[in-house]
Amino acid sequence: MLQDGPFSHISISPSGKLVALMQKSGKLQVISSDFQKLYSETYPTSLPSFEKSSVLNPNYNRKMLPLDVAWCGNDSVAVSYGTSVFLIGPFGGSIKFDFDSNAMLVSEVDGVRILNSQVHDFIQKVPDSLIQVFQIGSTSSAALLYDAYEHLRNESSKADEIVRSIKKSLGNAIDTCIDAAGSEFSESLQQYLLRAASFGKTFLPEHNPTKFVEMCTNLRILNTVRGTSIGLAISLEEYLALPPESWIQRLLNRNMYFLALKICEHLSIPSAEVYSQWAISKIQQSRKDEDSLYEILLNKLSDVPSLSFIEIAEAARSCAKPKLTTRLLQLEPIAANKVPLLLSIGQYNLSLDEAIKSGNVELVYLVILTSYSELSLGEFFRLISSNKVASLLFSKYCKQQGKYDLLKNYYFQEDEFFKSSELAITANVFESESMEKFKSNIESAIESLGKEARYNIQAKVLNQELKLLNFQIKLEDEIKDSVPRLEIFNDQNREGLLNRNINERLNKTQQGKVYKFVGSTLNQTLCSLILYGLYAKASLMKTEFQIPERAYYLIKIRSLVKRRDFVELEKLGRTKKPPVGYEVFASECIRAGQFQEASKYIALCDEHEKPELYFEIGFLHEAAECALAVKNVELLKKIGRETNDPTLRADIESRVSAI
Amino acid sequence: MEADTEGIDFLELKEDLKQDFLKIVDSVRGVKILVVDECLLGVIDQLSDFATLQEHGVQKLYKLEKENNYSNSETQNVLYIIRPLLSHVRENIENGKSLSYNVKLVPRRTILFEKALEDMGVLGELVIDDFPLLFVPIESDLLVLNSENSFKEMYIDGDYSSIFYSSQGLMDIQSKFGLFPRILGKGDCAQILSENLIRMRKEISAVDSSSSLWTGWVLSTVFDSLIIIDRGVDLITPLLTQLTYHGLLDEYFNITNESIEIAVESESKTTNNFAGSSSENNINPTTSETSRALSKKKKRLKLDDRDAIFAQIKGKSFMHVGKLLSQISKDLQVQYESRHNAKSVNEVKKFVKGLGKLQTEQSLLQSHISATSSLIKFTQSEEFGKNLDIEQNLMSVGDITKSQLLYLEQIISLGNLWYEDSSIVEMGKYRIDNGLAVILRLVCLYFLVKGDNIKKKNYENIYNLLISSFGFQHIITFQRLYSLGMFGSFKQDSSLFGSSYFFKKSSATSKRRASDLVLKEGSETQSEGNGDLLLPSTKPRNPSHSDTFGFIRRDLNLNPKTDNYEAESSAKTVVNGEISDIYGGYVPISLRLVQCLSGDNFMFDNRGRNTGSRTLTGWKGWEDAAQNIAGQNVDVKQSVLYGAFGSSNIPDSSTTAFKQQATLVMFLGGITYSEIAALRLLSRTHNHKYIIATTDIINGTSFINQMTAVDK
Repeated sequence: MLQDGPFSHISISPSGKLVALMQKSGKLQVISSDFQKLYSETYPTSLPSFEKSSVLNPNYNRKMLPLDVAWCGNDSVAVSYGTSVFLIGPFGGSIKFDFDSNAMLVSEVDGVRILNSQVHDFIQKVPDSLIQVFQIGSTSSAALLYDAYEHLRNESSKADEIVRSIKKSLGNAIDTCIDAAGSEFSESLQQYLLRAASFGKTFLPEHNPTKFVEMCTNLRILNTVRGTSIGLAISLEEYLALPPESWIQRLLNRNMYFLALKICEHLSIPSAEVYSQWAISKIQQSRKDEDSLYEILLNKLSDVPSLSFIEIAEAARSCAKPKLTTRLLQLEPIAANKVPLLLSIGQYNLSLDEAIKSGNVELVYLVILTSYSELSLGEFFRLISSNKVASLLFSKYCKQQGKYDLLKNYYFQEDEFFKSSELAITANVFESESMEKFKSNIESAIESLGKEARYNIQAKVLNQELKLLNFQIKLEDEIKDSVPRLEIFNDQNREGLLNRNINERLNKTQQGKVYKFVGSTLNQTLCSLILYGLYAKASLMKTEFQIPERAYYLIKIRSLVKRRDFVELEKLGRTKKPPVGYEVFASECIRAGQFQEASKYIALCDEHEKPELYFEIGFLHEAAECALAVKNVELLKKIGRETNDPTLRADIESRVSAI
Repeated sequence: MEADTEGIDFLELKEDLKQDFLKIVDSVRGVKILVVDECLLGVIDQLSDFATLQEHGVQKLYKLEKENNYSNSETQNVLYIIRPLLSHVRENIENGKSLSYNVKLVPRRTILFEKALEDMGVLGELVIDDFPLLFVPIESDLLVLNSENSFKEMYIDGDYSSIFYSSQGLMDIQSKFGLFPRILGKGDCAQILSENLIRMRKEISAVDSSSSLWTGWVLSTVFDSLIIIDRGVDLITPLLTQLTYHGLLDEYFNITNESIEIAVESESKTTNNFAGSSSENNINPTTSETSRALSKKKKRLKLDDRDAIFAQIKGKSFMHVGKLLSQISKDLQVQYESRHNAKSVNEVKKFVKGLGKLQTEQSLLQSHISATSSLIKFTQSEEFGKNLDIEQNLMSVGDITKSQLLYLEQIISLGNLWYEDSSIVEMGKYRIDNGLAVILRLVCLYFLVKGDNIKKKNYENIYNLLISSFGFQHIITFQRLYSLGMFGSFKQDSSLFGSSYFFKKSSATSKRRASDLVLKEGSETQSEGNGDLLLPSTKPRNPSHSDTFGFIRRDLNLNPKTDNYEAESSAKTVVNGEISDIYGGYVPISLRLVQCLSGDNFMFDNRGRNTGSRTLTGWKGWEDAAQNIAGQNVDVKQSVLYGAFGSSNIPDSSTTAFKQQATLVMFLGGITYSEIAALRLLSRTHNHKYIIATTDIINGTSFINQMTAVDK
């Protein structure tokens, strides 16, 4: 079929099923949209009415090509030849319309618009509902209902009679009347038709009123926009073909914000877009100063739900109103939107506040990273320190990224003495490779802490550590290299925790020289000394570092038992009454499995401690004896159960029963 | 756990996650290697099994490890599912392999992570996307966010990511189950969370109402409220030794990915093929040769409700567990014996059919018995007994005896010296006997309970002993603990020791906020322009009593029936249990707060007031207690009116006839297994369902380890 070309005009029907082709030869073809089937062929120029036009207009001739071709609904094709428009039906029938000037065609879903320099006509196939009601001689139920209503208006009793006669199809009649009202352009006829429908409804109470209500809503809007001041001459079908938002948009393009708003309210659809468009044009056109403009905007916008201020602020920004932009952005509910915009206009403080308020850490980091690259270091530090959360997050970022120097700098500027020292200390636990670095780190930590009185106790601790370090260094020189380093069981080295064995770590990075003391804690150092058998050094250390008596004894006892130096242990126990009690001596020996040694100390223990301890090392006779002395019946029974010695068992049984 | 979860279908949530996960896996075409963050393994095990993964083209599954070379296999595609941790970047940059790398970040991609990749110069070679995995339903009543160290991040680092993720997760739940009619809670971070929830609602309406599809919020018919408990309001509970089976397992073995590693005796080696270990073979990656060699001695025991025995005993107080296990063992024996009574062929068939299940249960029972025997050894040790005595003295009397204080000093002095040979340490054991974590738990507990009434001399003594024993570096640890009020806060010298370390300029604002107890309507809580956010605090703002803990103990009845406690723990309570059993007589503050806020009658009965039916009264009646507990009181009523069109005719919650059956309890900053058990017990005995959501599951040791961690 396409071989019949060339074509001067191609037009597709609103339904998309048919195509109208205008050949160069002047022949109009209507074919299916898959180009398979030919429905009709006509030569508009050979129509009798065309002949008549050509008499009036000498420019017309049979060979002439049309100005425009467009579908009118899905049923007919309109062809414009300048001042004459032909409507050509499916079976070759035609109607001609004449105009004063050249007419252009616009296809619509239900008809065709004809526009020329003066008038705007709309031509559509008369809708079925209107035909049913108004066709002369129509006997459809809808026509009868309308007729009945006319009688009612004339106060004629026939009204009732007619309605009753169509009782069965009354529902249809009502719907048809409502549809007809929708298709009708005249407001008074719309009213008559709707009243007729409403009249019919009184006889049919169960009829669903939704359609009626919707039609009223729609007609109200249609009649408003069709008014001359707006001039959106649209039919109901066209109106329904698009969502209401797009009609609102058309009104906004005409700057009719108030009407658009009212329609939104009427239809219960969100009006945020209307407000936002209004605000944008207000900002663009207003000559007022930024403050009063803000007041005006705020007045209108503050109560609008779910309004996005981003576009409005953007408009203010492009109009070079930075103050207004900032203030508007603060109204924006979505932080992720406003923070980048605030950053882009250089509002670092504000964007930081907003980011933190949002609770979204990502946004805070966005601000931190952006301002770090945009601002001078001094300004940046001032910004970060203005907010505690930001300052903490910045510290975390630096630590994670290993930017210790930057962080040190920051802490120094902000007088964060404790945190400065914290950096130095963690460096010691995890990084410093040499003893010298280790020492200088502690010195710098002491310096920072010394600046504030409330870190008194911490400064004391570090001074003690420095003293210990010097003591340890001296020990390193005194101990011969041939002596191996002692493994002192440490709280398991879990990755990333502060409780690490620094001595072990230092030795890992060290080649050749092995530190036996440096990096150990005070108690570990004392323990090592005793394990090496340097008892005099240990007691020197006790006085020098003011190790509490009890702690000293506890560590010494444990270390001596570990060293299996029971002579020294006994000396410790005998020279003076130990402040920890003999129970500790005994239980440390028991823990080491040295029961014989333990029994020596058990004998020195308190009476009520003895039985349990004897029992633990399996000295059942002694245990029973002591238990009896302190009347510990429960333990006695237990011993009775455990023992293999029948005489002891019998003895216990008799004693227990005696008690 | 029990069958009364109707109406609350978290399985649906899980199904959604499952679909999302497979979609992620499918997003890389062809065969691929899957590399997963260690802490996500458990989650992925929940969402899928290896067979399904194979169907979706996964050739091998690896755990993300330092310097592991995944690329020696023949496939070209590598899919990483990891958290956006910078340490991952540092440790996993490979050199010069032309593979196609896909990275999915859980729960979202972050600026810092991408910047780190960019600095390394590899950003361009990766395909990065996020996998928004928030709350994962581990059990039918337990949702976990999987954000480790959330407490330290919130209270020490000022990093509120976990609050943000929690609020996103809760928004997801709200969009599925409807708005929580009321948000209640306690704590400064709880306040931030509730503000987040309201703001996010505003943001969502701002986005969605621009399309006409928006239908507006509906009040939940399932949940009557959301109760947010901030860990900062109850620092005591995590420090206490847990006494439930589940809790003790966590204390002793440290449960990771819902499983523990235990040593198995040689004779059970033959019956190694049971549910727990088979799931190991499936999902646990073939990391390296060494772990395979060890697997003969070590066994992973999966701890979830698929294991019927575990489901039965997990929440029980450990003193009953032995009895229960022997009962179960007897029952199994009876079932085995039933084969002799089988008369017909059908009965034999039936028996054989059930045999597989019996064998599985038998081997599970074996594992539980061997775990239990470790725990028995532990609970009978001198150390356990003495430490528990200290805890219970503090909880019931508020102080410890002179000899207990001496004992405390003793274990501090000897704390870091070898105690047992590291070679003897039991396999899989996590706890270090009287190590720093154990000692700090006791010390912090002591300071927390004593509050301001610590003598300075006493405090300095403990401080110096700890330093001598564990090293100078712990002045950092102690400063952190101090800022949380867990380490010596005495009145007299506050100026000297800087109680203002955390609160320099905010005292004026804090007063205003603290007095702000008035019920707020959802839409008005946003006080715009209040940029200077408070740092959260774990100390009560305006305590009315000097002995705050003592007051709370009496007011909230934390030690019910101390006198007739022995008499009550009869056979009946073995089956049902009492809340106070779970911590040996003490009821956690967190739990009491939940009871107050959810309008549990029990609390009112205790005060001689019976309100008849359960009603949500918020903080009414508990103002005194609330004033002496840290953090702000949260009480927000949500209504559908705000932010949506067209839904204004839905009635307010107060007028609705339906009765909501459940309360969502959100633990911000971690929950212990024992608290979970206690909430479940409440669900059972008080006829109201509690669903638990939490950022992470903690125990005392992991809680203390957060404080001793080094920021890196």
